[in-house]
Amino acid sequence: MIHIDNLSVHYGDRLALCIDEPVTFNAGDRVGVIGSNGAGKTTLINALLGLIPATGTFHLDAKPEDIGVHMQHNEYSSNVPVRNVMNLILGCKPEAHPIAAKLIDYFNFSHCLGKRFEKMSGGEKQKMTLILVLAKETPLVFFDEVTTGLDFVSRDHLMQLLRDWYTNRDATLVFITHYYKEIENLVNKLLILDRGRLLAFGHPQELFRTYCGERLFITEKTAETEKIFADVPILPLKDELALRPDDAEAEAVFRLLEKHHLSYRRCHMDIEILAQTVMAKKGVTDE
Amino acid sequence: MSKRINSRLIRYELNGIIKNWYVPFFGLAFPTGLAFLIGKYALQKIPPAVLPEVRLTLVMSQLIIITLSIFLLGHGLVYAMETEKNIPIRLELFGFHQIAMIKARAIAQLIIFCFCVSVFLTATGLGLDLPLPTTGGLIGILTYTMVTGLISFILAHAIALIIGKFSATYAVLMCIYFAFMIAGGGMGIPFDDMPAFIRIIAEQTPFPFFYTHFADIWQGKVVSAAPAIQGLLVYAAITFLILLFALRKRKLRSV
Repeated sequence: MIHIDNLSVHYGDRLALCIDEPVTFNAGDRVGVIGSNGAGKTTLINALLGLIPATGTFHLDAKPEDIGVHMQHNEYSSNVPVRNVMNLILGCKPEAHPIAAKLIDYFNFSHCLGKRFEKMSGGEKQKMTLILVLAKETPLVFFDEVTTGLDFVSRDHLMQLLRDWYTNRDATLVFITHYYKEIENLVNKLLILDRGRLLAFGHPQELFRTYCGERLFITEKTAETEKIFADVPILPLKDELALRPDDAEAEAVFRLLEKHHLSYRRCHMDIEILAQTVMAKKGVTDE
Repeated sequence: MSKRINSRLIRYELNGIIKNWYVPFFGLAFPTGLAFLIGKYALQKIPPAVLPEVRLTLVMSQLIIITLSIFLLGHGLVYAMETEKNIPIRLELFGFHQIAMIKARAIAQLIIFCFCVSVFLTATGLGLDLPLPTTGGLIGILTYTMVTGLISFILAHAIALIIGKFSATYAVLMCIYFAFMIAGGGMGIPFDDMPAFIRIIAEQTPFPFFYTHFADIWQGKVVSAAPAIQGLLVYAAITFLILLFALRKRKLRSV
C-alpha cells in the first residue's frame, strides 16, 4: 500500500526527515509511528500525502479518495452547525448515512450536531473528525495523534472504540502517537523515528527481541538494586531497572529478586521500553 | 478529486455566508439603513428640484458598500481565517478540491449579492421614491457591479493568500475598502474636489463610476463607457498580477 525506498524533507536548511532504507506498509497492516516531539512523525504523513514537498522514491498505492486522514489538528467552519459540515462531507444528512449514524450513536455524538465547531469540547472535536473519517471507510487511514488533548479516560475509551471498530475490517491503519501504550496490541508494525531519522522498522515483537532480548525483568531502579544486579546485563532505561538476563542467568536473577523481596514484572513486549532502548542504542538521547 | 462544483457545495457556502452576521449586516442592512437615513433626513435641505437626482446618486453609491462588503471583505476575511486554521486542507483531505470550493463560494456570493441588491433597490426605490430604471440601465449597472465584485473577490483571495493571517488580512482589506470608498468620492469628498493625483489613481478603478455615472445610466442617459471600461480593466489587471504573486509565493512557501 505504501512503499518508501528513501524519503527526505527539508524545512529550509534543516533536515526534518530522512528515511534511507526501504519501508513498506502492506494492505491490512496496522502500523504505529512513534517518536518524541519533533521526531518527524507528522512530517512523514504530510510528505506521503503530498501536503509538503519531499524528495526521494516513495509511493502510495491508493487514490486520494481512498485515503482517510485524521490530522493532528482538525478545524472546520464555525459559521454553520456541525451538522451542515458533516452533511457536506458525507454527501447526505449525518443521520441518513448508514455508517455515520451508527458512529454518532457509538461515540454518543448526537447532541453535538446542532453545535458550532468552536463551541465543542476537545473530545467532541476529535470525535467529529473520527466519525467522518471512519464513515468514509477508506482502505488506508492515517490517525495523527488522535487522542492528543484528551484526558486519560477519554483517550483510553477512544482507542478501545477504534480497536473495536477495526477488529473485522481490512483497512491499512497508520497510527502516529507518542502515547505508546495506546498502540500495544493494536499494531503489527512499528516505525521508530527520532529527530527526523528512522531508527527502526519492523514487527514489534521482532524489534523487541533484537534490541531488548527475549525477556526482561523490570524492577525499581535504586542504588541497592543496581548494586545487587551489577553483573546482569541491563537496558539503558531512565526510570526503571530492566534486567536482560540470557537463558542461563534468568533463573539466578529470578532467585535474587525473590531473595531481596523486590517487586518486579516480567516483560516480553513493551513499546515504551523498546523505544527508549532503540534510541539509546542508536546513539540518540531522549529529551 | 474533482474541480467541479455541485449544488451541495454551493448550499454549504450559502449557509456559511447567511449564518455569518457580517454579510447580511454590511451587505444589506447597513447600506439600506444608511440610504434611508441620509436620503430621508440628512438631505432635507437639498432643493426639491434636485432631490431625486441626489437620492439616486446616493443609492447608486451604496452599491459600492454592498459589493465590497460581500465580495472583498466577506470572502477575504473568511478565507484568511480558514487558511490560518488549515480548513481548506482539511476539506481537501476529505476530497474537496480547493478550486471547487472557491468556485462554489464565488457562486454563493453572487447569489447573495443578487438577493441583497434586489432587496436594497426595491426598498430604496419604494422608500425614497426613486425613478424606475430603464431595462438597459439596470442590466448595465448590475453587470458592472457584479464584474467589479468578482474582481474584488479575486483580489481578496490573493491578499488572504499572501498574508495568511486573519488579523493582518483584516487590516489590509479594511484599508483597501476605505481607500476604494474615498477614491470613489463616497466619504464626504466629492470626486471632482479631490487632488488631481488622487483622481488619476482613482480613475484606474471602477469605483468613481458608481458615483459619477450610475445615476445617469439608471435613467437610460447615454454616457461614455470608456472611463468605466478603463477602470475595470486596470483593476482586473492589477488584481491578476497580485494573484500571480500570491500563487507564486504560496508555491515558494511550500518548497
